[in-house]
Amino acid sequence: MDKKPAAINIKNKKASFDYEFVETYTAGIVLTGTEIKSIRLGKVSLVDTYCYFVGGELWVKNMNIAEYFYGSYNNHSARRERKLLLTKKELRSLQQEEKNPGFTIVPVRLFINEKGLAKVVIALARGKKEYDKRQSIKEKEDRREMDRMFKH
Amino acid sequence: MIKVDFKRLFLRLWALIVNPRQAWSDILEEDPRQDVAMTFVFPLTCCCGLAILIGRLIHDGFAEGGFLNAFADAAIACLGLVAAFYLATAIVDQLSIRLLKQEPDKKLSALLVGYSFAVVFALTMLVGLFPAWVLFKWVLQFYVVYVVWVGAEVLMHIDEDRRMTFSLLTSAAILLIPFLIQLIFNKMPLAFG
Repeated sequence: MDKKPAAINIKNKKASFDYEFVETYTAGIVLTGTEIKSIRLGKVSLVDTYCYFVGGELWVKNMNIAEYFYGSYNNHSARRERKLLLTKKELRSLQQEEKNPGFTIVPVRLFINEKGLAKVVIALARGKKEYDKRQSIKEKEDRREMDRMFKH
Repeated sequence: MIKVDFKRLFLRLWALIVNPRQAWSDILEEDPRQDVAMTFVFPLTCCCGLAILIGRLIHDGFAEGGFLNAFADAAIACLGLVAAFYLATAIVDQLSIRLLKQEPDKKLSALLVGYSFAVVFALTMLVGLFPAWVLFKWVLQFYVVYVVWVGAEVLMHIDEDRRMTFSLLTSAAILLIPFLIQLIFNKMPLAFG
């Protein structure tokens, strides 16, 4: 049986342009009630987000979850730092690899899985050089051109 | 099974808001030992939940997330109202013993608290259907103090010296408990792992 595609699927397009992904992980996220309700309505942005370690725990910074319209007095702060949930083994390996120069951890995609839980796909990433970026643009344009030609 | 007459229910709700003195006298004459939870609190709590569900669905649409949010909001509001009713009744019972030095009467406390919820029910339904009017709820909810104040005089015959303290404490319980329950559900960090 085909699985229904996730209704909420927010991508960090800028990250795939700026970084080369070495390895990806799917992490859970600690949220408040109004945050998950906002996510269900798709009011999230991953632009300029990044992850960092504090005391062996992984946190995400700059993730913008818009305030919930009906939250009134008990709404959340849109850009608060949020804790990510990974297994101890994954955390240890990520923390070690992140120490290498030029590496960083960026959220790539946020989605709600079939159980209704919000998940973030994070990637261990290496920054692209200028010529890599130009190469990415060229590849994208070539792909678009090919699609157009096939259509006609 | 208790059959609910919704027309009568809404007329009582209206009477408690526009003419509380007359409404409290009618309640006392009718049956002071009635089960207010079954005849007034639960049906109106369900109406509040329904109003919130309808209001959210109109505003956010029937998309998967919109329905889940609407259902969660309605359930939290209903839970808050029912919990507030029972906790406020227990608080009024304690106030009768400690503040008024009276014998506690659970039925009478429930009657006072249950019908005093009329203002909260009306405002919850209104804001549920028209979410943009939330400011009205914030201002008008304090009218509950007057409804309790009149009820305390008519139902419990509390003398004027202690009636204001009693009314303020009871109103605080009626207004604060649903607020706190919503705060817990909305602010508590939950691990969505």
